Amino acid sequence: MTSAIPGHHNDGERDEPTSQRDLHALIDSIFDGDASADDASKLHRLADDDPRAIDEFARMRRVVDAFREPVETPDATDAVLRRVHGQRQWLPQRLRKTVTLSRVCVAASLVLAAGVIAFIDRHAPQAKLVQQAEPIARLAEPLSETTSRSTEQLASAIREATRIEATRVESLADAQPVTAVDVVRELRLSAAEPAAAMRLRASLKTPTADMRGYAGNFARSDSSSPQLAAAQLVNWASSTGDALLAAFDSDSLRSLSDDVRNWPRTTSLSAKPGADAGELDAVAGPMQSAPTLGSWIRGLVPPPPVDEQANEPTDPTIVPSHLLESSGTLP
Amino acid sequence: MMRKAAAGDREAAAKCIRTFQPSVYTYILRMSGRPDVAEDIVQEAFVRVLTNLHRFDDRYRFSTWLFTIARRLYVNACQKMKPRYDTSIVDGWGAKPMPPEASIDDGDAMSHARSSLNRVLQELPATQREVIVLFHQLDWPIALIAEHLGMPEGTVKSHLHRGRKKLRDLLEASEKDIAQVEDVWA
Repeated sequence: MTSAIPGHHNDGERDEPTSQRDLHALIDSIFDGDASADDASKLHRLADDDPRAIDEFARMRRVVDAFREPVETPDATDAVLRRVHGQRQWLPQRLRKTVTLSRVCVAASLVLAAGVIAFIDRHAPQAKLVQQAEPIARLAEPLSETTSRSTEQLASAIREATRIEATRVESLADAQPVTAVDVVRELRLSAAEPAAAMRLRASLKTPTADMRGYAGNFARSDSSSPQLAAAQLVNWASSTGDALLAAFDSDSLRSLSDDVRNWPRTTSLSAKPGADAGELDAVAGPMQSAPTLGSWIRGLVPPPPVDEQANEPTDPTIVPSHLLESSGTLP
Repeated sequence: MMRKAAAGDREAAAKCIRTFQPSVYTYILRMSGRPDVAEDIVQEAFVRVLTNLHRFDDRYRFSTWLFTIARRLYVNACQKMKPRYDTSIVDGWGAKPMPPEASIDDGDAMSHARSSLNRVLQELPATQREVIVLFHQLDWPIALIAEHLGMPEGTVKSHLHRGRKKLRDLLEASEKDIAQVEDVWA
């Protein structure tokens, strides 16, 4: 260790004799903890030559030693913990372990679930973790059930359809046969994202044919009358946004109304009671004159009765009861 | 211990307080010369530390963080209550004279030295006082003091040397005054 004695002295020490300055520098280096063995021997030599050096060292040591005396410290532990407890809760050790353990368990569960999904996806990509909705023809048994039963099944299918993962929009145009569930899916997708309506329209190669397909499916899944089929269409369509409704122009409507007219002749509905030409015209006439599907639907659906006691929003997938009467007529 | 305290372990927090409170208390006591101020600041510093443990970066020393908080609290307290402090320090000089009948045995001498030390420390410039307290009272290395105070190590040493000499002179002057009083009473 080299000597810590500085060669430079400040102004206050300039008048000191050299030996005195050296002495102070030595003492400083010793109390700074920087002194080397050489510095210590120098101090000894200075002390031999001048007894005042010992006195100087002792005076400084008294100062330093004064700091070594313990200071009585009041215990602030309880006061601090009380104040801190007001801002954050201390947890008992057992509870803290439980909380930590539960966090670890949740994290492990998430990792495990992700691993299982990744494993299934890699080794069995055909496996479906979410059950796909079945075509409406399988869910509803129109010829053997009553109208209300069939409608309930239909509503159930619609609810199921709303949970379907929205991944097949682009391929819907090629899906044959187009099922009611597909229609609902499209409508739902379009309602969720208005811009999707236009994309959907563009993706359908033959919109009119699809509309015809929808109508045919409505008819096949229905057991009573074209009015009910129309009511279901109204119900599904009314759960979508105006963007989709506006996307279907009057040409599509005219095609659809032709289909409505032809239902009794082209489907099993021809054997059903209530499917007379007058009722069909009551549906198809306004459809042809309406500029858009939206305006036609708005014309079909009467304003809901004002019920002040029941302000809860209704499930849009439920067909209004006044439209489900098999023997009734559309408004 | 800090991680346990941060996780809500009351015992770890208590242990943390008991470990560090003597040094923080002494630091503020030496800086302020007032036990009540030191007690308040120590309490407030620990409350802030324990409620903000999640912000502590454990790459650094906990004690440095704690002392920085305590120092800021002390500086803020000085700025807010400066007139009162000055007055009380002056009052403290007059209100607590050494009893003339005190004997000068070793124990009393040390007690007297401690009392004198607190008094004369207040006569040093704040930076010299702080450097001396951190170095001689709390055994902080020069480099750490320089980091804590934001100044070069050479400046810290300069403050240390000048402060130590001045403190020695002040202590000796104080002892001479007391010796004269005792002579008069004797």
